[in-house]
Amino acid sequence: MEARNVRYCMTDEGYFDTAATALPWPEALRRFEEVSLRQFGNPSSSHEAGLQARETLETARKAFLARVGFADGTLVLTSGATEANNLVLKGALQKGRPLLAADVHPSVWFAREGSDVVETGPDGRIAPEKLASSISKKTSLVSIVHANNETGVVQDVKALGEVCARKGVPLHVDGVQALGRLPVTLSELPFAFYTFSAHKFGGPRGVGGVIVRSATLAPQILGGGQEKGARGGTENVAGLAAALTALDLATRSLEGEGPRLRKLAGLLTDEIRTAIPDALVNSSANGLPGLVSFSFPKLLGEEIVVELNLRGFAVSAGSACGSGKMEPSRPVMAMGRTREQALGTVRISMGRHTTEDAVRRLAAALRQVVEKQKALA
Amino acid sequence: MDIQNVGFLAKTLTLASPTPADLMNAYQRLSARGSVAITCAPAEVGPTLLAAENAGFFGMRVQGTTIAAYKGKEGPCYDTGRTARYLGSAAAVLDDDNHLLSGSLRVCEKTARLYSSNAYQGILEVSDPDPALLARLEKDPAPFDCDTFEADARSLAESIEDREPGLEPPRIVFYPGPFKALILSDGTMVRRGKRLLVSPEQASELVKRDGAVLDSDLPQTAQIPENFGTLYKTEGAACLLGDLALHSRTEGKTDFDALDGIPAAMKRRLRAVLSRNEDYFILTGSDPAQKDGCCPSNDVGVANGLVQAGILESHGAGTNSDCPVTLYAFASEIRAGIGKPKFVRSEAFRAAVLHRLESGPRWSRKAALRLSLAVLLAAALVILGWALFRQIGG
Repeated sequence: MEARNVRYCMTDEGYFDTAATALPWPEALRRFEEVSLRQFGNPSSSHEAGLQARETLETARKAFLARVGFADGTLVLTSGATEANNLVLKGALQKGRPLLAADVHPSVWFAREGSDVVETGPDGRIAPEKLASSISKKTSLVSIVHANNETGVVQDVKALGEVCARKGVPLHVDGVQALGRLPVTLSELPFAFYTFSAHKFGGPRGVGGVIVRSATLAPQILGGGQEKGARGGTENVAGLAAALTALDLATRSLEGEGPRLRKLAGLLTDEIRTAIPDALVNSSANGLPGLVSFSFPKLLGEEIVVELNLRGFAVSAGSACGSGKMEPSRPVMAMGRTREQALGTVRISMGRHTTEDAVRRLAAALRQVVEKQKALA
Repeated sequence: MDIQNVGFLAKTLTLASPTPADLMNAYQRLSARGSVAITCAPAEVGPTLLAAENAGFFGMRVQGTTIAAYKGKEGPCYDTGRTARYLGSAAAVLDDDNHLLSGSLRVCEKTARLYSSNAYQGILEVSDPDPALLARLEKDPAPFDCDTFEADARSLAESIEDREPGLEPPRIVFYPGPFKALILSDGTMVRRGKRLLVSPEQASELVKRDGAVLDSDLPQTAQIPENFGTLYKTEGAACLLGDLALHSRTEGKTDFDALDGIPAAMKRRLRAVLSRNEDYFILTGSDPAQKDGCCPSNDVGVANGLVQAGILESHGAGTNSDCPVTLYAFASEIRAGIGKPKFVRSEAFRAAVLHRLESGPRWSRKAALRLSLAVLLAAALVILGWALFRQIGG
């Protein structure tokens, strides 16, 4: 499989939903196939095939940790970030009341009932002093998002982690959008748990994990004793090997891709601000590269997504159905937007395949769609 | 079947309510330039025309309940330097041998002779042959390239002009032939043998210059013409092949009265779709009539009512949201297949909708009947009361 010959299912350039899933690296998929065919043994088996698979698994695990700058850490493999976040939060719920950032992913927000919430500011960031005042004696864990999946806002993990360290509370960082898309050296960040998913940086689906500093996890999937008892189930050897390849490629491309994607995001933001003056921009120039979030008051993001899809562009909306009615994006609401504004939120996320020409065409289409939606509202 | 010219092959046949097999058989039995005169019931005109086309006849023309059809399109194409010029109002015409005439067209000798026959009298002008080429016809004929259909269709598609739907109510026209279809300057395809809704200006021109007939029946019993410009975008020149009736709206399904009672907001939305020339609009939520539907929306309920009335057509937008997102277009304008839906606009139908939105409620036959019955009932009660009063009083 040659990278240059790969054709994806839709027009690559019209794909603006990298934050949902990134275009896979062909090299990573090739690695998955290679390991699946050659090291097919069960890593728990004591025979040669099993031992070979075990060796491949542990080599990939060490290399993965080294690649994220945290060679001394522990990597517990899961089926993805949802499971990884659940694993961390369920354990924290058993110990006390987690403190959740208002913009966390639903795979963390499920714990809302037994938790406290720390609000984000109008810029989407959590002020360290606000976090400090929100931590109580009952707080068993602080859970934040490194780079928000809907707004692209990047938290100052170091500052927030230092607050947690001072208060003696473990910090969970949902790094799903950050790993492979921001320069990350985990050894410099004071977290207890850092979760990720491989398909967000061009690896295969079904591969994720929790990178653990020193705290212990409360296992949720039992039986088998894999991952040193933290998560039962046969390890996805090929998945981790492929994830390592993808992370390697993504990280190496960051130096060039980061500034390029920021420039494209800036271009899109400028075009939309000029064309649609009442559009609200939720993302910031120093957020996740290539992620732009707009709110179009009085419109529905979901309808804009459908309109753009019919014009050949894939984007996302932040709203969802809850309790029988349309619920706006929580991270956008947490930034102080009204319900009417937040319901019209659209997320545009770019990747290595995105071109300037495609961005200009998307801007033109978005302008057309918003004008139409306003006229037909 | 009544054979008028008896011989090895008949010159003229008269057929009464023939089956497709009868027409096939008649075609075989006709001489090379023979013709048939078909009589049939009004309801049989459409199917009989199709059967005649399928049997290989050309130049069919409907006159009342009689259809004249001709044989003679088989044979080689040789060049004699002749040109045919269409004299009617359409941008192009499609004959029964898939020639697309847009203004003038170079034609082979065989087609020129067909075009010079009674079938096309007054609507086509055919130039005389070049004597030198004509002289070669018997011994050394010059070949002629008949295969210009694709290129002609492409240039026709490029020439189609968008037309804003007018406020005047559309008219019903019936085009009797001899061409299989006329393509008007805005792409409206006027199919022979069908009662179609077109704009008043188009109807007037078709009557004056193409022999079309105006029909005064209710608009909801007429059909909506296809648009060549939009069909060409999705199907290419192939949209002119086949029976040209496959996509037609079925008759009698549209209840324009349903537009009278809809809320002002929906009227505004429909007007905006029409004035902006949009293909569709999108609504989020479920029909309030649907039990346990997510995000109930009155707008969706109203739009679904218009779908029931045959004015709109809906298409699930297929999002991942639990709340349904539905796309609404005017009836029969959605071409849903694999992947994204495509849209084929029916300008005449849009004009009919716009006219109804602008003109407001009118007396439908049903309403008029109800009122008449109510008046009669009231009169009967008055007479009965008066009679009783007289009897009691007397």
